Amino acid sequence: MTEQEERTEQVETKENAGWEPKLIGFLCNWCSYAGADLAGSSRLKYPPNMRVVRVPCSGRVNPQFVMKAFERGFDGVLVAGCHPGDCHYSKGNYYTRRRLMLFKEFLEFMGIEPERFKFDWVSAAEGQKFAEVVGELTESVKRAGPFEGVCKR
Amino acid sequence: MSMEQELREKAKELLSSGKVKVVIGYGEGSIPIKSTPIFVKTPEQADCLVLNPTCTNNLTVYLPQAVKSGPVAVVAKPCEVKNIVELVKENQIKREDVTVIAVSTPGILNDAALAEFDLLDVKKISWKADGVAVTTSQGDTVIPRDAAFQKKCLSCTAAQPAIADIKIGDWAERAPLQDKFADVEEYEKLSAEEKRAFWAGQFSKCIRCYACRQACPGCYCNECFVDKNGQIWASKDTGAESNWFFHMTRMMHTAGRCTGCGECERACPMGIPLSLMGKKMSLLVKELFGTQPGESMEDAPVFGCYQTNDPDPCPE
Repeated sequence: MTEQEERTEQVETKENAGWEPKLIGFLCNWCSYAGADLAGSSRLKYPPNMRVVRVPCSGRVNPQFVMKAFERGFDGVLVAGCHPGDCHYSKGNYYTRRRLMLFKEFLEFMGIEPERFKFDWVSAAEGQKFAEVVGELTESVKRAGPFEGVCKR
Repeated sequence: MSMEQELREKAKELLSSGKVKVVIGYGEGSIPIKSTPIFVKTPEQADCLVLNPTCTNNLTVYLPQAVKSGPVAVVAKPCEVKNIVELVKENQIKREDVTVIAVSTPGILNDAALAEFDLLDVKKISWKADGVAVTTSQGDTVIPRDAAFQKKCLSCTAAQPAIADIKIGDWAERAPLQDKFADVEEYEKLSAEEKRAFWAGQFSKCIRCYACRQACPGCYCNECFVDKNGQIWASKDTGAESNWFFHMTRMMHTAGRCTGCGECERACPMGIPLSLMGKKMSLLVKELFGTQPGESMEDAPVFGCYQTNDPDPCPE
């Protein structure tokens, strides 16, 4: 390793040290969004790294949403909805479960670390769980480091 | 009677009895190394049908349009019969509108096998017991099976089709010559970073000609998401990232209906190994939901149904 490279690496590690991951979360209106609300009104502390997009149902989450987020440079993505059996529209989350379980594995196949994508259930009463889920995702994305893009050059 | 003659006889019967309006099959191409899809409408034209190692196109791609003007018969190889099963299950065609002529061939020619030949000098390509015979002005050369056939044919077991009205060829189950998923296993040894670098290289080649989509019987949408001008999800530029987005979406859309016919990869002018993704998808669908595209008429389409005990991201 040349001196120049060494210095660059030092600078990079230093930059990484202050680096905060940028996350996006797709939350279902009826459970997870309300769960996030509860976490807030209960004054629970959790990392502020996530931007929330409210969707009518986790069934609304097209895998393209997740792809787009990664393509545009988000470091991690969360999809959360009502627990199976509790969907406001009876079965939306059952369909999304099939789709996203497959998609999750496929992302890994395409070289996107599984640490960057989280798919979980958070009910309206689970403010505590919401805080934990966001905390876990932030931690695992930090471990994976800054996302270098869907295609590494 | 050769398979070709048998096929012509059956096509004549179907057309003269009025059971079908058209038989979709293969005809001679402009040069003997190619055959081309043809639509046979009269019993006399049935003599134009050919069956040889160059018959590679997946003809089931024409079905959703073709059935609109009456019942159709289609020549389909084992992997392609599965496409018909999926089209029927997904209500794109009616079972009674299509007569399936299932043809089990020894294998289909891999274009790369002809690399050493003067292509304009090739007079005929035919099956031999141990491979493919290429006839040129210098005489016959036999290419052994391993080199002559496409990868998908080397791993084919010619399993009994879920639907078939007419069966032609040798349908005895055969031992595959190659492991179908060997390349997937090899690829999966790469690290996450190497995988992304691999696809960056592949997708930067893509020119977005959409040949993969056009050749795919699973891609039957009237308007593809990339062609939509209202909601533009996929950018039309050909940067590696946009191409990644296009191919990823296409793979998700064909998940559970990709039967591994390999036409996308064959149609690709840039040599992108698209079937690698398709194969992984079929492995995942099998692993997670226990179904295989096109294997039975009973299974519901993968994303058109659910089970309450499906794999869960956080099992209780």
